[in-house]
Amino acid sequence: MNVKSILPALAGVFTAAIVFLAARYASLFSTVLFVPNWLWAFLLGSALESAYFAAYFLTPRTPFTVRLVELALWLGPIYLLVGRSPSAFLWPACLTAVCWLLARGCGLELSRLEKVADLIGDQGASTVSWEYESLTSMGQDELALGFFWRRVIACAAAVVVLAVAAHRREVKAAGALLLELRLAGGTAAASGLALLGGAYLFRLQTLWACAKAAVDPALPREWLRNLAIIVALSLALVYLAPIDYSPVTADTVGRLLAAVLSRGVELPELPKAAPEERPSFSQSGDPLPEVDSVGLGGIILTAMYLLLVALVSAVLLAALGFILFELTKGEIERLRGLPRLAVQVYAAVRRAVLQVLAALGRLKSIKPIKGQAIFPGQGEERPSEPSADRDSPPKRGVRALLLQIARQAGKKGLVFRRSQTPWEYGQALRGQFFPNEEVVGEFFQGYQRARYSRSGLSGAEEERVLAAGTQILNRVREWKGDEKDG
Amino acid sequence: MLTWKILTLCCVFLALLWQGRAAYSLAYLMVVLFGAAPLLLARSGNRLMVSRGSRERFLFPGDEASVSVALRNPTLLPFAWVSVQDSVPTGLVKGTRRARPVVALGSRQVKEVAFPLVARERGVYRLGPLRVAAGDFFGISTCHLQVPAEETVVVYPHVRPLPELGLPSRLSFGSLKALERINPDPARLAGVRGYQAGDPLRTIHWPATARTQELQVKQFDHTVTANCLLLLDLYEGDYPPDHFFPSVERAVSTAASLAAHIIQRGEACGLAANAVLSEYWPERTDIVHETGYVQFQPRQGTQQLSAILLALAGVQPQNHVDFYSLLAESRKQLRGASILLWVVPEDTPQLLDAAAGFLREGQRVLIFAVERVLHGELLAAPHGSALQLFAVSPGGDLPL
Repeated sequence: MNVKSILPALAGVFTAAIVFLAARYASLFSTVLFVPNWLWAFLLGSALESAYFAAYFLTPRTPFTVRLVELALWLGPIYLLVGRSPSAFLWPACLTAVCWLLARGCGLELSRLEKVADLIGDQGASTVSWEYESLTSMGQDELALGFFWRRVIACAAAVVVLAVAAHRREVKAAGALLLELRLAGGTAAASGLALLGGAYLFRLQTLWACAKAAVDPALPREWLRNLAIIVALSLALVYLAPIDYSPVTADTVGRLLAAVLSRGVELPELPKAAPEERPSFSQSGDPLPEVDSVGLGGIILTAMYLLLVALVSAVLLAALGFILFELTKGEIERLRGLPRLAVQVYAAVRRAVLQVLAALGRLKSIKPIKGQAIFPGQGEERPSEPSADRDSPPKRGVRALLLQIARQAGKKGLVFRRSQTPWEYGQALRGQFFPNEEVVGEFFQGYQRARYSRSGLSGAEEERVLAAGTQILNRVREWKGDEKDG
Repeated sequence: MLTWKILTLCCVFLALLWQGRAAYSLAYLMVVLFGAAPLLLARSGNRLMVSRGSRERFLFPGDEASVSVALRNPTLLPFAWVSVQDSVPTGLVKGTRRARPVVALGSRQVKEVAFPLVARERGVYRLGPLRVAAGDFFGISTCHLQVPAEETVVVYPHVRPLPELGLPSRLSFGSLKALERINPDPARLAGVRGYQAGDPLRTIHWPATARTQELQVKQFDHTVTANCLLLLDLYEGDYPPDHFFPSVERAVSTAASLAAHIIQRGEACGLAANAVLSEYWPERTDIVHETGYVQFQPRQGTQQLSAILLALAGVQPQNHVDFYSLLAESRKQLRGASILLWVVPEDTPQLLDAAAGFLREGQRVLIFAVERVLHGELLAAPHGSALQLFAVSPGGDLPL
């Protein structure tokens, strides 16, 4: 089981859930921070895309332009959906960008975990003590997945701070909002724990491969099953455990401190002012003192101020220029790799689709239970089907016919080696079975045209080549070892 | 871990102060993950039961075997992974690296892991202790155990047919035809004859009687059993330093092959060697093992062969008892043996002098030189001579 394929999804769900929670709690404080419901789809989508892209494709040589375009692809539709209003766009865009960046970090870390062999360096596999390395690779006080732990705990702490703030300000969430918050909290907890457990498994699998440990094939499945149980128990704990039972709270501590301070410190009594002596600004408005005319000192100060502004501006511009220069310096070079990146993405998507189709095909090919009719309406009386005979005449053209011939000839001792071209194999076939016949040449010439030519074979030509191939196939089948020339 | 535990305490403290489900939930999870889980893992790890399938294993060179170790988790806490590493000596490791199996062990689950072995060299090996590591699902804690479960693996010496050692395949030892026909040997049928009054009924040959319709009795050869005693010289000073180990192994293999040959012919064979036994030698009561000497009384049967092969698997050369001391020490045994088979590196003149003393006492001495032959003329001694010399040379002639 490839654990890595599900980890970016977990990272994306966790990030989106955390940002969702933070935004929901923030919206309790101010209506300005309210976000529309459709934004959640963007949060989840951007997090998933960012995590998968970072885990599988992002490298230090990926152009910054690609990253900017990637982010812009998410922000652009949001801008349109909020009605092209910059003020309304700012908060959703900020949330989406944060979500995208958080997920990107997780994806990058997954990519880094996979390269642990580079970190181990030139240690021989036999000397890799992965039990130790998995725990203390970065130091004695560091967990194996320090990044993920810090990320998960920091995100959870941020949400907790917002939730506590809302709790203490007595901003009550109720009804659908409360349900949303609980669901999002549960999703964040479950996906966060699953991400941590899955990432640890992924790291160990990488180390096991490096150390060439004999791992039980059932381990990933059992790991994920047990992890699911642990996550479920953790959710039960989160939802069902008693809360708010502490007799000592921040309020009681604050009151206690206030009482202690009020008893222990006697403040001097302030003189009471007579009500008529209350200070007041005169309404008549005394004339302001006249300012002297600007002298030389003022000019110097002004000049110094301008100089300071100019210096600061110059430093800022220089810094900006430096950043732009540094960004664009390697950018052109990186952009050359863009087609390769596109090909990689295409190949990965194609592979994923093929895997999904293969999985569906496997599901489809599961045999029915004994006694159950395979064909509806036919009951137990199945029509006799032709058995899957590998030796039956090919029905898929010249290339399939060559495979059949090679398989048959292999059984007779003439194996189609990887080092051979089809034409060389044809020559060997001719020498073995058909020393004086042209049928082999005809078939293999036809095969080369079918395989390598742009035009291919016409209908009549294909029939002729197939006939030759079938003749070869039959001849090979009938061949006995002792009739070399026969 | 200390940082995370402090962080957990802070979370708990703040949750108690601030209140609210979110704060409590985070505190609960932190306590479970960084407080309770490591403790539970340590306790469950200590209760993990690791046992071996067997205590002793016997192999011949070239044999492959698999040592199984059973892991049992009697607790409810599942282990995300359990890694087992056995201390397998280099001479038994299959392939180029030691196996390091990793399994997942659920609650109350039993699993078995296997370590493949291949017997390369003669010896008595000790497997173990087992080093077990188990971990949780989040990389927070790992527990390590060392289980003192040990297993002895005995790799017997090579037992070869005599022709492979360059020896005649029809070497005759042990029972000899007696000149005085007193003791018929029921294992050696010589023929049948007609029944005569006084013949014991148990000697009647019933198939022949049925065929001839007259009572027939079996006739046996009359033999005397001549006990054989193998004397193996493993004094370090007698072997050339430049190819010490091959010579020693050849001597041990020769002794094992001779013992097998003799005992499989139904004769009695004993062993005496000036050797020390391996430190991992399994405790046996039927072997006399004093410092520098290994002695077996001559006996018949496969049990004796098994005991001799076991002893030869564990013998090691030593440097304080020479072969002549062994002859002196084994005098009591030597008196009871008729044929002495000396497996030595070379036939020195002193050795022949010592052999002459035994010849005078009526014993036969067969010397098997495994390293070099100094008295080539003795190689041509006729079959049945009291003193014979054999050159043990698997794969080629010994230098003369």
